[in-house]
Amino acid sequence: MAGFLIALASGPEAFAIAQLCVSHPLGQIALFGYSLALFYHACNGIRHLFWDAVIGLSIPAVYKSGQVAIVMALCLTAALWSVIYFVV
Amino acid sequence: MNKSRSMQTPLAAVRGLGSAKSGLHHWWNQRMTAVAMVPLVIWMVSLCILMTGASYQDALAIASHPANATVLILFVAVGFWHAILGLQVILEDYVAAEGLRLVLIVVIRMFAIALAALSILSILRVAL
Repeated sequence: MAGFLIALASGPEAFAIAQLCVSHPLGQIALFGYSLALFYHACNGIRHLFWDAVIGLSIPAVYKSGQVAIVMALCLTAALWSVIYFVV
Repeated sequence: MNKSRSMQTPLAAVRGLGSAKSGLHHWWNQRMTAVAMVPLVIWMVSLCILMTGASYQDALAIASHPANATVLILFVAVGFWHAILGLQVILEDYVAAEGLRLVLIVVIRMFAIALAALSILSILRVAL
């Protein structure tokens, strides 16, 4: 992301190279992996914030929220890439 | 030292031994940056969708909008801050060698701050 911002600030040639990198299949795979990691980290992070607020600390609730976090991360990733490939 | 014969108070014996320094501050900063990252990530993901396949001019227009530029700067600043704090915790938990641990924490911190500065400079250059 930093590279993309730097390229945008550096001019059209650098931006074209950055566009090439992110649209290349390898770049797309990397971005897909990054988005999945980001969404999972976000969902599980929110789970931790609930725990910090002393919510959902029983063992069944912990298992349940873990499953919810994984499913949410998968759904968000699928939604993002559906929008990118089919809507934009 | 023989505990029963020591004149040292228990407080003096543990003072400076790791805890009760800046741990709570670190912990609280990590939570607050986490909370701030939730709306920032939602906005950033939307920006990424908008930027998909955008021309140079379109991308410039999107990134230079005051609201987007503000979110970009906050995302970079808060995101790298959150990352520094999180990576520090990982290193403190998993790197046993004290010297190596300190070096890694400092190197990661410097690298993250440099990358954040470079990113923010780029955003400002586009936006201003």
